[in-house]
Amino acid sequence: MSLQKVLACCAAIVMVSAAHAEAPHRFTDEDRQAVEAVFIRQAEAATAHDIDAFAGVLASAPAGEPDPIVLIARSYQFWGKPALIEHFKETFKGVWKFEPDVAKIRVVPLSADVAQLYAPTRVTAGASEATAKTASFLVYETAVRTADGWRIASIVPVPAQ
Amino acid sequence: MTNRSLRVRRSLPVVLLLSLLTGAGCAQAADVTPADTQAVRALFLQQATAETAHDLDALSGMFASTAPGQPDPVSFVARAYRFWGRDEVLEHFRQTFAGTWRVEPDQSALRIIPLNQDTVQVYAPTRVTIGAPGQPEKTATFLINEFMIRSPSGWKVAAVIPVPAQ
Repeated sequence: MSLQKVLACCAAIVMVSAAHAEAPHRFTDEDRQAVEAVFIRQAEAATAHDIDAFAGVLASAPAGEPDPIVLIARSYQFWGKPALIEHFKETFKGVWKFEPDVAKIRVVPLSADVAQLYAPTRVTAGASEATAKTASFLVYETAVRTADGWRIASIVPVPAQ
Repeated sequence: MTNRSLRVRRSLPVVLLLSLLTGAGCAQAADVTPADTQAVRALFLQQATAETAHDLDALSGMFASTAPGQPDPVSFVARAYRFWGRDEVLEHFRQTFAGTWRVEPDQSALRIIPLNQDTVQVYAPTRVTIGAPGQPEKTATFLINEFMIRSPSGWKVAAVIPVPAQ
């Protein structure tokens, strides 16, 4: 390989490295919109009882990495995506509606790659329409930036009453 | 060996170097290590101690601070109130410390969940004893969730989300 080609490769390395150094680390308005959008997709999937779509909005940890999925509610806690998906498979057999007040959603970055989201939300749950009850929660979630875009990690519903 | 395969073989070291260097550039920082986990746990327990001691200065040093113009990550979302930003949260604690306020986390149930290399969730069932000045105190258990972030001066508390256990 000629010296000219070696120099060209070195220049390419410097440019690619510089691009990577500059690219990721700012939380932008586009990120804010993407975080809100993934939360709304989560709500729609939950209300539609679409477990595949629901699983798709949750972060998936690469093999060997810690699973960031957590649901901490007053009546139950789930640790890890498989446990949470199993819980919602059962929940979706009954009544489950998840209706955030979209106008009150707040998205605040914790860092460039993790955002917190807050949304007052009406949740209707029950074994049947006849027995289902509606309650309001102050839903707090975190979303993480992944190679596939923003995905939900933590779900913490605080009862509003 | 053809001229083409010879060229490919000669290019391999450069391609390898390129992928190593660019890969290193893209790689994330180190994971949350056992030392990080210990630091986060220690911070959470120091925070509980500072709150119970009503030591606002110590508590203030534990919450994240951001440069002017940067988004303030500090928040406190509870059933009774919501506070957004470091100043609001610390003012809330200043007022709370005028009365009764004790927090006693169940250390044996404390969990730390990394969200990425610079952000962790802390979970701890915690007995909270609260009372307005001159009023009787009440104790209740909360499932405390906190979100801590890595900063140049170590791990700091960003969000506090207590879920009533009853």
